[in-house]
This record gives sequence, C-alpha cells and structure tokens, in this order.
Amino acid sequence: MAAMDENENREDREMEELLSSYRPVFKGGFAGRVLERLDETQGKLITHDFNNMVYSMFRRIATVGAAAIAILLFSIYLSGRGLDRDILIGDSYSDDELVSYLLYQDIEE
Amino acid sequence: MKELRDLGDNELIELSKKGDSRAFGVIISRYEEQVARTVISMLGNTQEAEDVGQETFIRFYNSLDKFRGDSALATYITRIAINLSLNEIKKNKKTVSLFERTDSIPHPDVIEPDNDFENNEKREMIETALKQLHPSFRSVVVLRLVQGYSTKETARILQLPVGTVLSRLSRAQKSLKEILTPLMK
Repeated sequence: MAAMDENENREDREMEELLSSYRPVFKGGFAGRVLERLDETQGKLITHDFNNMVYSMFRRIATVGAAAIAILLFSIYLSGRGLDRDILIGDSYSDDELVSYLLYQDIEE
Repeated sequence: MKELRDLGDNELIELSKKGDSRAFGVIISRYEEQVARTVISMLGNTQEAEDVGQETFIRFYNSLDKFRGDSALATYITRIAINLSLNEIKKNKKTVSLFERTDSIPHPDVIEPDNDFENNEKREMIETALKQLHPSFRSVVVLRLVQGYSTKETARILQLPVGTVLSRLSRAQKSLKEILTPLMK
C-alpha cells in the first residue's frame, strides 16, 4: 500500500515537473507585430472616437431642440389659443382681426 | 541615463500612457513569454494562439488608464490572456457547429521551434494532453501547474471559489495522469 502511494506521488511529481517545464515562445519579432497591429488599431480607434463624438453631439443638440419645441407648443396650448395651423406657422392673427387692425390704423391716420 | 529596459513596470506604464511605444514594447517583451505559455497551453500551437497573444497586449494597452496596480502586472495580463483564450474556444465551438470544423488549424510557425528533439517531443506530448481536457479544467491546470500560480491566485484570476479550483485541479490531474503516464514511459 505504502509502495503504491509512493509510486503515485512520484508520478504526480513527474507530471507537475513536466508541465512546469512547458515553455513555448512565440516566433521572433512578436513585440514588433503587436506594435504594428496597435498602430493600425489606434488609427481605427481615433476615427471611431471622432464619429462617436459627432454622433453624440448631434444627438444632444437634437434632444435639446426637440424639448424646446415641445415646451413652446405646450406653452402656446396653455395660453388658450389652441394649436391650429396659423399658430404653428407663426401667424397668430385671424383674417378678421387683421382686417379690423388695418381699418383701425387707417382711421387713426 | 536609465535605459527603458531597466525601468520598473509602473514607470513603463506611465510612459506608455503618454504614447511612448518603445516603453510599451519593453512591457511586451517582458511579458510575452508568460502570455505565450498561457495562450498556447489553452489553444495549442495555432494561429489563434498568436492572434490571442497579440490581442492580449492590445486590450491591455487600451485599458492602461484602468490599471490601478492593485494586482501585479503579470497577473493582470494573464487574466486578460486566459479570458480571451476561453472566449476564443467558445467562438471556435460555434464555428465547429456551423461549419463542422473538428479542430483548429495547426500553424507550425507560431512557436519558435526547439533544436532539442526531446524538448519538441515533450512539448507535443503536453499539448496533446492539455487539448483533451475540458477548457474549464484546462484553464485551472494552465494557471496552477504550467504558470505556477498558487491555488488562491488561480481562483482570483478565474473568479472562482478556491474549492472549485481545487476540485477541478484534482479531476484534471487524474485525467492528465491517465493521458501522460503511458506517454512518459
């Protein structure tokens, strides 16, 4: 029994020694190949970063703009004028109002 | 003036952050053997091993700012290498199921050949044995027995409980002994 254990331990040790002696190395010039690839990747990364920056800036501006339009429309709606076509295109006077305004102006003159 | 080769890891990292590629080249040379041992043990003498080895350093370069020095640089790089190797194995499995590829294509140019015939024979024997282990067992053997990390360090790198590492190691050793003992005689 002791001899068997001894044998097993020896086999374990031999196997561990064999594994720890395993020292494969990459073919020469590995560092150069990595640096070369890094150069290529960094170029791509810079372009990618720039595109991301432009996209995120555009998204921020668009979001702020959309929010401002929404607030404006809501405030017009709250002012009681409603949201008809004239209001939306910036012409808040109805034709009747406009005619009476022009007439009033003529009388004053 | 101190040569780059004489600088410590932290000084080289600082220089690399500033864009000094020569400093990063020194880091690569310092740790390429360790990365080679990890990725070639995991993936065999294949082109994938070389690619994953390169990718390890590229990932490290891109995360230089995140490296706080909590763990030794060697451990940090080994963690990247082992995780990328495990990802590559998973990716290959998917490729196998899609295209019925049975194994990675051997690429004899990846490893620097040893002039000693006995060493080459030993290397092939170890690669054959490691290849037969399940990747989760192989990663434990690679870190614990090939790289020589302690059980605790192995557990930390693989983010596994120490008990799991010990049980996987014991089962892997059993399988390895069955594979290697006849070859060693």
